[in-house]
Amino acid sequence: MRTTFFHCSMAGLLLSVVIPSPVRADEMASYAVDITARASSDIRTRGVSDSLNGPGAKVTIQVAHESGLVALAEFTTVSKKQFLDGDGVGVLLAGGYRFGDPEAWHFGLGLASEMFPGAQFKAPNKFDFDTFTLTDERSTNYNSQFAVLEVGYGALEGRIARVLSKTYRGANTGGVCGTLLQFREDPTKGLECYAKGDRDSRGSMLYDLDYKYPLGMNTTLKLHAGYQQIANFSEANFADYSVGLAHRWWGFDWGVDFVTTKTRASELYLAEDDGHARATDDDSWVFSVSRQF
Amino acid sequence: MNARQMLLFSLFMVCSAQSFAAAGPLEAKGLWLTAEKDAVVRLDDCATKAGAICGQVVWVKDVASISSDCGVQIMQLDRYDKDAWRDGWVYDPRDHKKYKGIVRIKDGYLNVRAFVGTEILGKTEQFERVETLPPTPVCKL
Repeated sequence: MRTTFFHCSMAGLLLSVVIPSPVRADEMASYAVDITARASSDIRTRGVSDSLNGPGAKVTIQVAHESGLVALAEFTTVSKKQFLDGDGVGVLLAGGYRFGDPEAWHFGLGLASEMFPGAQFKAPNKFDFDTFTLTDERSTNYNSQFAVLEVGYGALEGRIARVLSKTYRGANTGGVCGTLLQFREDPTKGLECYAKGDRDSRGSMLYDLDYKYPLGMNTTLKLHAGYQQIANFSEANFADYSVGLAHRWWGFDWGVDFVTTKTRASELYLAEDDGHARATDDDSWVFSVSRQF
Repeated sequence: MNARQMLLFSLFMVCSAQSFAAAGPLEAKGLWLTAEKDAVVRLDDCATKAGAICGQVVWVKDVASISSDCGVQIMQLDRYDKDAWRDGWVYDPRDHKKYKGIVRIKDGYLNVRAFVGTEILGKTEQFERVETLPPTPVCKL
């Protein structure tokens, strides 16, 4: 119920600024709409592949209103082998308020909701140490909601997100401990994880730092560092880094990024692919092309 | 000084030089080629407003758009303050909308920022200085 209200609020905020008001040529625009379509060799979120290391596409619609309100909707293709039983799509809705000087200090506050329609997994959330069996199988979706704070100075941008939903991308006892038990040869870590009881990941913190440095007129150097602190599951904490170049040519933005992660438990980033476990957190070169409309 | 210190020192000097190379109000005047290299804009004193600068399309690459784009005034900035031309508007011929505008010279390029409300809600287009107009096609102004 609360989640539905959250999604409706986000959609309402988006619609309120998307619906255009008539603007005569001599009037100043009161809103701006940017639509970006992007194809890339891999869809990486915080350094981890959401497309099972395969190619994917993303469409982003951003609307800014002169009041400072900003709304964003993003649709991304994702792997059904990672987001089980899903439609193969990730949806991000966000809304917030931005203010400040882009050449100096600037800030943003907002709410965001990430959804993977239909996607869910079943996993046991308890381990009965008397009978040595897994119990309490439950379904969990991968949806998350966040409160977001942005702080920037010039081209340096920092972002902090706090997870408001019960789980961050399905991280709960069944998701984390179950995966450790499934993929680790030594069951000790998985059992220790279960022994801590039934937990969720509400309150997780996500940190991002980005810097863009122009190299001439049409080329930009991009640097990124991120850290994910997963509440109640320190074994799931990880960092991600990337360095990339973006070049505008023929109206398209061409990009190449080297993405790397530093995970504590790489088992948590394995996905079953036709009987094989495939890592989704390996270092990767990501090539992309995008166009803004 | 080892190689790493030398590299850091060089980077600092490059960044410092770029940061302190402030341009004056006259620096923006002249001919500027778009990033797509499909149009040239001339920035000069406004004929209609004293103390302001105006930007007018004086060359377009696409012959078919000569009649529609040549001579179009795409910006007017009323005052120069804190290393930027401010208090004006920028017209985007692609969506036929006027936005608030601010124009700066940065690293030798003309940075034209169009925005709604406050400057943070905008996009920056870069222009490159050119000394002369390409020979063809010719805008009849």
